[in-house]
Amino acid sequence: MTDGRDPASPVQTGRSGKAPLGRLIALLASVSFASSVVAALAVACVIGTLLPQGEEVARYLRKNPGGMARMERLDFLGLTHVFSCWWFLALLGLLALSLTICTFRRGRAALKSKGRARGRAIGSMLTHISLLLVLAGGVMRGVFGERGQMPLHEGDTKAEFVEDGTTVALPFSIHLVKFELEVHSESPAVERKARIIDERLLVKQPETGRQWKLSSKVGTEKRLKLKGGAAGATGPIELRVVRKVADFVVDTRGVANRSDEPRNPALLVETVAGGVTNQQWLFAFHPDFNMHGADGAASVLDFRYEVKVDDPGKPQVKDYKSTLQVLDGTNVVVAKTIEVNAPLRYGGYTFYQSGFNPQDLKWTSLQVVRDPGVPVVYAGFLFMIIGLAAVFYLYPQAPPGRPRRSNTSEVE
Amino acid sequence: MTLLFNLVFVAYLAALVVSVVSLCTRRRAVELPALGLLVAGAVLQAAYMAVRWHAAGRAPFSNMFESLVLFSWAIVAVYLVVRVRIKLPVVGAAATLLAVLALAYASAFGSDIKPLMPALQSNWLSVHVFTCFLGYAGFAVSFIGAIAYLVASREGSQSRSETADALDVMVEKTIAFGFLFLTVGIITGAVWANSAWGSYWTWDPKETWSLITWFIYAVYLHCRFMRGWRGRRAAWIAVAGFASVLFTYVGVNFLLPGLHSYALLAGPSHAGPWAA
Repeated sequence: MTDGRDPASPVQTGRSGKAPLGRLIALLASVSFASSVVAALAVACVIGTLLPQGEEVARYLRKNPGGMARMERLDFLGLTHVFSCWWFLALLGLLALSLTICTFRRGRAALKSKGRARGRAIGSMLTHISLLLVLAGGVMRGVFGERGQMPLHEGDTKAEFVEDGTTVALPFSIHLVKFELEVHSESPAVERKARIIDERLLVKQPETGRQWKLSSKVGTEKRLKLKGGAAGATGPIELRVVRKVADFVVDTRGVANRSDEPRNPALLVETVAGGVTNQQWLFAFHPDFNMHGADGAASVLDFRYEVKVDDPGKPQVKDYKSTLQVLDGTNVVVAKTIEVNAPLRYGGYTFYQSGFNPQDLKWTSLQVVRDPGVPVVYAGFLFMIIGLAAVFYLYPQAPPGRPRRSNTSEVE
Repeated sequence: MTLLFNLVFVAYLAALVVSVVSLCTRRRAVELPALGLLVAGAVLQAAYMAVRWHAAGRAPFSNMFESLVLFSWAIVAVYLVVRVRIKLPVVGAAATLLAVLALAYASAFGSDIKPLMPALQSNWLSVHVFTCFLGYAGFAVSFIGAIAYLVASREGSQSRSETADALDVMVEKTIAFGFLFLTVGIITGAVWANSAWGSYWTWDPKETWSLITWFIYAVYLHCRFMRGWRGRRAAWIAVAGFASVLFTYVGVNFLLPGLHSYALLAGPSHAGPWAA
């Protein structure tokens, strides 16, 4: 071990003269290997945040119908479900293997060292164990965990919940006594009306990914030059914003503005392409209701009207609570009023206040979770904090002499 | 409250100007007034946050404006602690500049005190945000140190050797500090998420990017402690780490919305299948 290295760290010996198994273990325990695995995990994480994952894929395809082939290719590579695909789990497995070997090495170093170096080696070992515990807890969640929804109406009693479309039985029943919704009464700016503080018209050519951000002001005109896509649309397309209403409604006179407040902002857009004129309404809050034409520009472009509203008068939800009873047969075993951040725990299950029905406040939605891995993960968290505190502050590395220059630090 | 905020801004701005003058004129005597202004600004800012806490009835760490104010304060606080051990005026000037930029950026967001959505009404929020931003501040100061090191250690630079060595050590210490607090921040966030939504980890973009940041600094610490990395390579990892911090903090909010989107707007209410 040379200056600049942690005196509590195990000595990394040279590779010559070792049996193949010994060389493999040395490789798995090396910083280079662990760093490579961590770097690969980091890249996978970046991909997982940039590409649509899981349920986002369906939403992406609704917006980009031409992207099906691309999504299928990504799906084949596991890139639409990065965090559960085999190669990501394999990387986590390699990390666990490396951590396990490092843990043993740190343990051995702790036994051989004394004083500050021992404390530091133990701290380092604890941090490695903590990561193993977190990974083990995650595996337990994946294998033994249950998670689903339980909608309940006041007065209802249920002994089952729904997990991914499958009904799962509970060994006891849950009875909803009452649901309560609280709103913030104090609203200093309640006299002010709601208003649009930002808005724009987004036009996208899904097949090429090209996008235009346009003003949503009535009278805005734009000549869009399309690049060739699968549909063969090459443009140009003339676009014009024809009309805007803050609170869209259809009555006997046709489209009307119900109020000046942006309760249902909508934009009427006209496109002219290849002699075909098309008009469509775009709804800021309900883009699924945007009326897509089958011909002309509307068939090759995706339109969205985006608005940001400041609505000081809108009552804000302060809290929502469900008063629950756990029943064993007809006996009430436990009664508790749950709210967000305060769930009910019973029989290995936890019941979270998950949602409510704004149209019918007699309904509540509970999230039902059984995760036997949580105590293991929490133990890992505790070990992690203790271990890091030991390494950095309780038993810090002895101040080295003059730091070595980087051109010699690669020597192993 | 606005007056207090403006006073903080003026104090930091004045500290920045005096620091730059001190650096340009190489008059060390001018550094002391800059330090005094910085301390005064930090005290005023702590008072501002306390007043806001009292007015809101909760810790002022729940939106972009409040987190930026906390971030700027934490940068100054971490620098002042570092300053006790290592006296490098250029780091002070750069830390002050970062604090000023954070406050200026905060001004772009509404400072109104708004009621919190139910999920945010938790003491875990305060601990989670506070520890995360202490960690971010540690990384910010380490970033300054790394950049200063890269400049100071250039071939032919006269300030090579002692200054560079001091910066190298400072980067390590501040990264160790930041790593510990980022870890605590991630853990408290996980515990809070589990108590609110029944899941300690959901691969939400913010969570995932904080993990990426954690990975980068974990690699830095391993390379440094286990393989003796010093100097420019280590400094470049510190720079990459802070780029990841910035993306985790700001970039994710704008580009990758998820559970943490409430940090920018009044986001999802987690109202389940009937979300309004």
